[in-house]
This record gives sequence, C-alpha cells and structure tokens, in this order.
Amino acid sequence: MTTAGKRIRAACTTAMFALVVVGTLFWGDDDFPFGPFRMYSTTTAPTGGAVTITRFEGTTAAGEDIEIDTDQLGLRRAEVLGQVPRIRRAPSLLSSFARAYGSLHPDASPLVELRMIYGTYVLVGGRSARYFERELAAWSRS
Amino acid sequence: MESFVSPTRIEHGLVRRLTSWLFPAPPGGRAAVMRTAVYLFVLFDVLVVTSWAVDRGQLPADLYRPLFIARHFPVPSPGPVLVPVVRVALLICAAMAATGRLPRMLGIVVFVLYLEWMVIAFSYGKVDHDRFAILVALAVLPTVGGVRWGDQEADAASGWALRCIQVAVVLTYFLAALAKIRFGGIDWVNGATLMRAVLRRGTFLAEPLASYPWLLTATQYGIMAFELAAPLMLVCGRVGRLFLGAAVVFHVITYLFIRLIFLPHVICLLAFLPLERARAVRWVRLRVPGPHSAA
Repeated sequence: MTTAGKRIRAACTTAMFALVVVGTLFWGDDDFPFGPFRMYSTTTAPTGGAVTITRFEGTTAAGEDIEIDTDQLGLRRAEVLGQVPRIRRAPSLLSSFARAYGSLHPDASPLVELRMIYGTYVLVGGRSARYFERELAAWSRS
Repeated sequence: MESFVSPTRIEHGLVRRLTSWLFPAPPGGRAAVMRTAVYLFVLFDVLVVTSWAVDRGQLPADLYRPLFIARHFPVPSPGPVLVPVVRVALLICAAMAATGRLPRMLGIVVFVLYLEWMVIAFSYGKVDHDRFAILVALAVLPTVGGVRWGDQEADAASGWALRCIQVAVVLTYFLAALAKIRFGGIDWVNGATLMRAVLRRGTFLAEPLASYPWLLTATQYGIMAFELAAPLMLVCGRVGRLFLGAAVVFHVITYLFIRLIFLPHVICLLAFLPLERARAVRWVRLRVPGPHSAA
C-alpha cells in the first residue's frame, strides 16, 4: 500500500470515529449512524418508578372488539412509543394507524375505532407492586 | 552518562507504532471470508431481521419522520414503489457481492442501498443502535479489492479494513457505556434498569428474576464494567480472546432472557477471528464423495 493510501485511510478512520464519539456525547438518534448507542440506557427508580407498556384495542366495522399488535399497524413497539408525544399533541394521528392497519390487512374488517392504552407497573423495592391502565388516545370514524 | 531520547524521536516512534497497529498484515483470505459473511448477513438482515421494513411502503406519509441524513441529503422518501425496489436491488447486489465478484463496485452499491434501507427502517420513531459496526464494515470492505478465500499472502489493505471493523465493535460497547451515563446517569447501575426489561419483554427464563432485584442490580454493574473494559478486546493473545468470549456469552444470555440480540453487531465480532482458516470448499470436498474426492 502506498503512503498516500495509508494517509487517506488513516484520515477516514480518524474522522469516522471522531464523529461517533462526538455523537455519543452531544447528539441524538436523529443523527444516525453517529448518534449515541442508547440501547437500554435509561433507568427506572426502584421505588416509585414506573414501567409503562403500550397496547391497542380496536373495534371493527363488524362490531368486533379486537386486541391489535403494533406489528399489525406496520410499526414496532418502540416506534409507537417514539410517536407517543405526537399522538398526545394530536390524537387524530391514530387515524393514520387505522389506515395503516387497513392497507396491511385488506381482507380484514376495517377499523371504526382505535384506542391506545397505557399500562403502568409501579415499582416498590425494585419489584412490581401495582398495575393499572388508562386510555391515552382514542379515534373513531365518524 | 544519562541517556537522552529526544521528544521528536518518541513522537516518531509513536506514529510508527500507531501506523503498524492500524495497518496490520493478516493473510488476504481473512478479509475475503469476512466479506462473504457480511454480505450474506445483509441478505439475512433484509429478509429476516428488518423484514418488517417492507411494510413502510404501505404506511401513510404522516408517520414518516425522516432522519437528519434523509433531510439533508438527496434521499428519496419511502413509498409503495421505492421500498420494494430498494429491497430487491439490495438482495441481488448483496448476493453477488458475497461471491467476491466486482468487490469495489458492488461493495459501494451495497453500502449505499443498505444505508437507504436503514433510513427506510428507522424513520418511523425508533432508531436501532446496533448498526454502527456493520455500516463501517460495508464502508471499508470495498477498499480491500480482489482478495480470495484461501489467500495466504499478507495484505495491509485487508488488515486496515478488519482493524476498522474491530474498532467499531469496541467503540460500540465503550460508547454504549458512556451513553448509559449520559442518559441514565449513575442511577443506571443502581436503578431498576433490567427489572424494566424483564417486566416488559422477559422470557420464561427471566421471570424468576423479577423476585431477585439485587441480582439484576449486580448484573447492571457487570454490564457497565464489561462495556468500559471493551478496549481490552483489541489486546492480542489470551486477554483479547477471553474478552471476545465474554462478549459472545453476554449476547447469548441477553437473547435468552430478554429476547434482545444485536445481530448486525454480533456478526462483526467475526473480524477478531483468524477467518482465513475457514475453507468451505475444502471442507465440502473432504466430506462429500464425488468425482473430485481422492479415491
């Protein structure tokens, strides 16, 4: 390998790794692929802390109440969590979820209602002591 | 008489040592095997790991939240045509690249298409954090050029590419520890971090752990120590091998207990192995009787 080849490669290595270090310290997920590696980087207080889960319930045009998995909406569980602040601001965004369900399940009875439910485990002494649910947002075709 | 070494000589010595570390000369066959493994993994990734991304083409546009690179570079938005086209093109090019044909051209095309696949997958509210090493691998492998399986000749270009992948793997662990400190603070090790994971996605193996919070807290200390010490993986000999083994055990246990595996990252651990010893063709010839086998 020529000296120039080595110099270019060394410069690329330095730049690439400098970017990811800066990303870890100052940037966020938006700066992919140089954002921080924050897989499971947040924590929960062992007492008084809460662990939340999200689930969906829908009512079909046939009048049936069904449990809907996030996969059925074309999104992963964490992606739904990532969209929660937007849904809070504008619950009508749930209509897009209902449309996504429709285009991914053309043969199923379409949704006329969709409810997003937040389940909360309350921790005491590091263990789950209580569980409750509340409706975060609802949409109905009207 | 007191011996004296001038600072410039020390500096030169340091640069020389750094250079020889960054450009080791393993047999070219090592990078060739790595290349096959990485491109085959791309196929597996598109078909299995991120198979859900193909649904993006059907989603309403208001769910799309483009990442920085998609907003600032000419990256097309996912749609019913773009997503399947990128998918098929990526599958074909990665399959061809795995054979070692046109390593530079196909390598660059696969890198660009894979990056686009990542933008499609991660622009809907969640970014995965296990992609750095594989993206580095896809970026550096085209520079290796025409090495072949079984090449025994020392090759600095292969050495650099493999070194970059190794450093990317190590940085992923080490910087993940820094991210934990940045986002979780010191509470990350003392809090109910793993309890949350167990409650949310624990397997039947993890369920009993919900009764032993102290064990989970101790594990948190272990994980933090392991990640901060990850640069030891770059040390030659027993220390490095031990650390590599620890990393594999860590990923297997994480998968068994909370169904979480960072496969694109795990595949890059191969860059630490003497892959040139893999001889698929010879292995098959020795075991499958046929006209080519010795009588």
